[in-house]
This record gives sequence, C-alpha cells and structure tokens, in this order.
Amino acid sequence: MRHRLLFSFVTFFVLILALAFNPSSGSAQGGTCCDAGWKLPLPAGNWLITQGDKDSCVSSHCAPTWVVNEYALDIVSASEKNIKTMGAPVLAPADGTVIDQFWDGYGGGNVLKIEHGKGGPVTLYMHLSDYSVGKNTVVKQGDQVAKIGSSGTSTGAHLHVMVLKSNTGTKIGLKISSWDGNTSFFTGTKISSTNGAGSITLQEPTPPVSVQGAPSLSQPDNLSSLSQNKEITLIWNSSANASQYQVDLWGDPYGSMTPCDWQSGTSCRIGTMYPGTFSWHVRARNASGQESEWSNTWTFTIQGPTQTPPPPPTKTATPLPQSPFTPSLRDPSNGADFSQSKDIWFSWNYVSDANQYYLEYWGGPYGTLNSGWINDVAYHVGTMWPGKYKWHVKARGQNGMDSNWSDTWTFTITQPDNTSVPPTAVPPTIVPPTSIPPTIVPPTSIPPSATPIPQPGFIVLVDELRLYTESGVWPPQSGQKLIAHIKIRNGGDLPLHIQHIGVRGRRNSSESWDIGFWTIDLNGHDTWSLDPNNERPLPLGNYSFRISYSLDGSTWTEVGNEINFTVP
Amino acid sequence: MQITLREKIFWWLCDYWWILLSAFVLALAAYFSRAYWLPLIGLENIPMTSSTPENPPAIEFTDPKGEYTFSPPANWSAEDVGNQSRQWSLPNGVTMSVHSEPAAASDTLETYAREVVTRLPYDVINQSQVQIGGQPAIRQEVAYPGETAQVALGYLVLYDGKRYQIALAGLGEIPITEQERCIQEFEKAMTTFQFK
Repeated sequence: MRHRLLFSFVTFFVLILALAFNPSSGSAQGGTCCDAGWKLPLPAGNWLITQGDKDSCVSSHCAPTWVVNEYALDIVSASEKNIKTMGAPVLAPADGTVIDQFWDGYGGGNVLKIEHGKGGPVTLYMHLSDYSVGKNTVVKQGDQVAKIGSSGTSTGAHLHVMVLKSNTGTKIGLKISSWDGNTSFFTGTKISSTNGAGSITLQEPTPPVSVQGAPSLSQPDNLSSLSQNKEITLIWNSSANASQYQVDLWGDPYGSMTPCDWQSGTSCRIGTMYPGTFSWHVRARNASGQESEWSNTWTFTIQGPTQTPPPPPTKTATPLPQSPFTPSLRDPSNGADFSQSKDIWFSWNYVSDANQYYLEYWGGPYGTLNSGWINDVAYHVGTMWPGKYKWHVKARGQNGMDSNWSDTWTFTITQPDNTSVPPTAVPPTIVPPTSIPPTIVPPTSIPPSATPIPQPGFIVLVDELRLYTESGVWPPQSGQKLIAHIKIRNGGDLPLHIQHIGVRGRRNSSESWDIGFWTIDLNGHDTWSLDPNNERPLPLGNYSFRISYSLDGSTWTEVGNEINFTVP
Repeated sequence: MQITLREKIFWWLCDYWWILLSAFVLALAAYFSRAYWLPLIGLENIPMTSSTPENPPAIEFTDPKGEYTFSPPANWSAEDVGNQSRQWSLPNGVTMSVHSEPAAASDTLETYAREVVTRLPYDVINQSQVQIGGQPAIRQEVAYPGETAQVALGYLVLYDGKRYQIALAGLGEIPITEQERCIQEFEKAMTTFQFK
C-alpha cells in the first residue's frame, strides 16, 4: 500500500515537472506563448526585414491571404558579402517535428512546416530552394531543415516565415513581439541571429472590433465656396474603433483621386487647387481591416481669380497639422567606402508619425534619382557605378505634411582594380532624360500642390548584361550556344514603353549577331529580365555584345558594358 | 532642240521601267527567302525574326528528366527551384511552374485537386475538366480564401504514376489587362505541352 502511494506521488511529480519544463507545451491562448528557448531560424549574423509584419506591411503582405492575421516576415541577409541569402540554411527555431513539406504552385513554392510540440505553434517557411530533412523528421533546435530560395511568387531570394497558433482548424497567425533578442520587425529593420539560446514572444491577435459607422465630415463646409489661393485641408471626425481613414476626392480638372490613402489622421492636406467643383467623402477601417461605409458626400467650389478676388487667408479653429519629425539615416553610413560589387540598400529610421518616405540620392554618373514616395524605411538600389554619392530622406506624415530633409550623408563606390569593369565615362545605367518620350510628361495644367507629380520613367539596369553558355565554359567554344541575361528596371513612377530592347551583337566587327529584341511596357518601378538563348551555334570569330534599345523604334541607344570574346 | 535633264530621266524611265520593276520583285523574293539561300552562300541568317515582340517566339523546353516538353515564350526566364519543380518568371513578375511528384495509388484527379487547395488553402473560383498533352486534367482558377480576385491558375494531371501541377501564379500582383495577356500566353504554351 505504501509503495503504491509512493508510486502515485512520484508519477504525479514527474508529470508536473514534465509540464513545467516542456517549452513547446505552452498554449497560444491567453495572449502569449512559447517565450523560452526560441531562436531565429537563421545562421548567426545580421539579417534585414524586407517586409515587416501586418502592422508595417507593404505589397503582398497587406493583401488578404489564407491565414487570419498574416504576421509574416520576409528576411534577407543584411550583407550578401557576409552571408549569401540564396541557399542559406533555415534552422529549426525550437525542437519540433516537420509535419509537412510540399510544392505550392499557386505562389508559395517550396513550403515547409514545423510543429513545435503536439498541437502547439507551427512555424511555416515559404519560397525555399531545397529541403534538408524529410516529412515527419523530429528536429532539434538549430537543425537545418531547408535552404532559403526564391521559388514560387518571389522577387528574389528571401525567407518568408510566419508562426501559426496551431496547424488545426482556422489558421491564425501570431504577432511576433520579440525573437532572439530582437524586438522590432518593421520593414527595413536589421535583426541579428545569435544562433544560440534566444527566445520568442508571440501575441494572439485581438478579436476584430467593428467600425462604428462612417466618419462624419467637418471641413471644408458642405457647399462652401473657396478662393483659389486657399490651402485646402479636408478634415473629418473620428469613428469609434477606427484606426485608419481613406479619402476620395473628385471633380474636374483632376478627375478622381485618393489624396490620402489609408492613414490614421483625421485630416488630409490637399494644397491649392484649380477652380472647379469638387466632392469628397471618407471611410474608416479598424485594425483588422474591416471597413465602414463611405461617409456622406460633401461638395465645395474653388472660385477662379477673375470671379472672386482671393481673400486673405483666414485662420480656422482647427489646429494646424504638424509636420512629422525628420528621419535619421542608417545605411550606408556617412563617409562609407564600398566596392562596385556592393549591393546598395538605403535605410533610415522609422518616424512614428510618418507613413511615407522619399529618398533622394545623387552623384556619380547618375544625376539625381529618387525612390518616389514609399512606405518602407529601406530602398534597394543594387550595384552602382563608381563615384561619390550623397543622399537624404524626408518623411510625409499621416496628415499629408512633409518633414524637412534629413542630414545629407555621403558614401563612395570605388572602382575595383579589375580591368574588366566597364568604363565609367558614359553613365551606363540610365537613359538621359532627353530620350524620354514627351507623352509621359504629366500635363502642366494640374497645379503641383494638388497632386504629387509622378517622376517620368527611365531605365535602370538592375544587373547588367551577362553572357554564358549552358555548359558554363567561357569563352564559348565553337558550336556552343550563347545565353544572354539582362535585367532592367523602370526607375520612374510612370509607365515606360520600350519599342525594342535586346542584345545587339557583332561578329568580326561587321556581321550582325543579334540575340533578339522585344517590346516591353514597364509600369513605374517594374523590373523585367530576359534569359534568351541564341539558337545558332557560334562559329569561330571575334564577338562583341551590348544591350541596345529604342523607345520609339527608330533612335537606338546602347547601354551597359560591352562584352567581347573570341571563339577559338 | 535642247533636252533637259528632267526629260532625259523621264525617257529613260519610259524605256527601262521594266528593269526597275524586275529588280524590285527580285529583291522582295530574296528578302522573304533569305532563310533558305543565306546559309547556302556561307552566311548566317540575321535573326531579327524575334523582333516581333508582341508575340515573342516560343522556344521548346525539354524537361531534363525527360518527362515532358513544351514551348514557353522566349522571354520567360527559366529558374531551377529544385525538388522536382521547374519555374519560369514572366517579365512582369508572374511565375509559371511545372511540378511533378510520385502519385499515390489512391489518387484521383478530384482528390489531387482538393489537396492542392487545402495544404495552403485557396478558394476554387472555377474548375473544369480539360485535356493537357492528351491526358485528362483539371483546370483550376483560385483566389485567396474569402476573396474573388483570381491569384493563380493551374492544371493538374495524373500521368505515368506521377502527379503534375502546372501553374501560373502571382496574378493578383498585376493589373487585370496584364493578367489576361499572361493567361493567354500561358494557355498558348499549354497547347504545346506533351508528356514523354
């Protein structure tokens, strides 16, 4: 009897201890889970969040997906020189079991899931290049489970990682508050992986709260008449539970526009406007993305100067909107020197009351370039030609007001000793503005303060012309086929029509050996790449190739480096 | 009587117009038949044929494992994504992929079609029975759960003990007009798909 009692006590204590020390048995219910022993699923080193979670999302991470609250992160190496993203190992962040690995042809590419404890949270990885373990493999923290890749719908090698509450029932994404010593996962944030014992804190999403009705409008008054020199700011009253508002404004000569897309403030600065009658309304949405109905529609009229002389500006009772703080810069650090192979990312610090940023950089052979207004605190440029560059950033607040420019920082790209680097005398990656077709210049009749003027399109060669053979032998041998790779980007905001672009080749300085030409239309900031084969075997001879394009079909421009080789 | 230069040219044209006409006809014939006679005289044909950009030429692709062939447009960039998959990037970022894996004995087209929209859930907005490469197939148009906008299009085939998913993804990232063009190119490429 005594032994049975002792056995019961021992069994009870063993069960208690097992529950207390099993980190993966923590439930996701109650707000947090799994706060012990988790590390980033990446090798030790510095990494960069290229798309933050749902609270700082851009592009596809804001789109509705298959999971409730997609708190997914996209992560790349902070320095390709130190850690190459493509093929980098994906490590188990905690002990668990690989419960699934499969191909998702509809966007995810190679996908892998690890369940951390039976019925516990699940980490999910997408766009992998390879798996390192099979399905049902039990893995220990730090075990390699896969390799980072770019499979599926992906613009480049990165790790897409998210944490699900569990693998059963409705898939609920958990917000990561801290992981492996990092506490911010906004777009553009650098994080570091310790490859040691870290921790994670996850939050269960708060249940959606309905928006209580559409916002009510405040100013300018309905049917009011305003002078042309009046600075127009649309103001409305907040709605209960609303976290963001969207404004629609329409009327000639502007057509319809959304001057302040989803933003948290209750005003939207338009600036001065041309004469006409304009209508506007506002709707709200809550943190879960639920939208209200549109508000009532109000109308106001801007009088022409000949009809009503512009009255002096009057002060309204509304407090003037404040400009956001000026952003501080992060990378490239001031005075830095880089080689030409450096993959340039500009990044700066997040400004709490801003929702858009504008990067301007200039120098080298480029003239002045900009990012346009973006939601990120980072901007990828890629490799740059040798030269001395300066850059600065300004922020736009949720009320539409702009900050001052940040400090201006400088960095230098130096030309490597390698003589194969193309000459820098001609800026090879940019089409001079004179070659921009006049049709893409915005109409001048729109006053600039009413709507931001989009930057005209121009071509940036993201990576230059590369030639190679299927076998990898270089220079090509007689009879081999040539493969060309070019990748270009429309560096402006406006669509760009390129009538012909391709690889123009010459054999023995005279014979045409073009690889092919295509017509493409690139929207602002779109990238286009091409990997054409040359169907003809190469005979002996001296060859030279260069990217050539024509915007109008008649005037041709050659850009980028010229590649010369001899087929022996 | 003095003959002006203009009259000389006019008379010459009257006498020898047939030479000009013959030369023009010959030049046209030579241009359109250059693919035949240029190689005969030791010169290569200059491939400006690919400068019909609205319809970029298709290049036949043969799967390295010899499972299938098809002809995607030449401006689709092929990428090796491992694990029995092959992927092409279209110029606008849309991706097309062909994936094969061993089929289970119990697999039917219907069970396979259900599985591919369950692992990462998608809503099927349209599904139909078709043929690909002479084999029965299911054609799926899918959207994110609860949404109606198409994000991907796929063909599912069971052939020779394997399951094939041939898909066009990323449609939700591009404008509708671009989507239509991509789908047209994809469907055209699918008409050339053959199993080996």
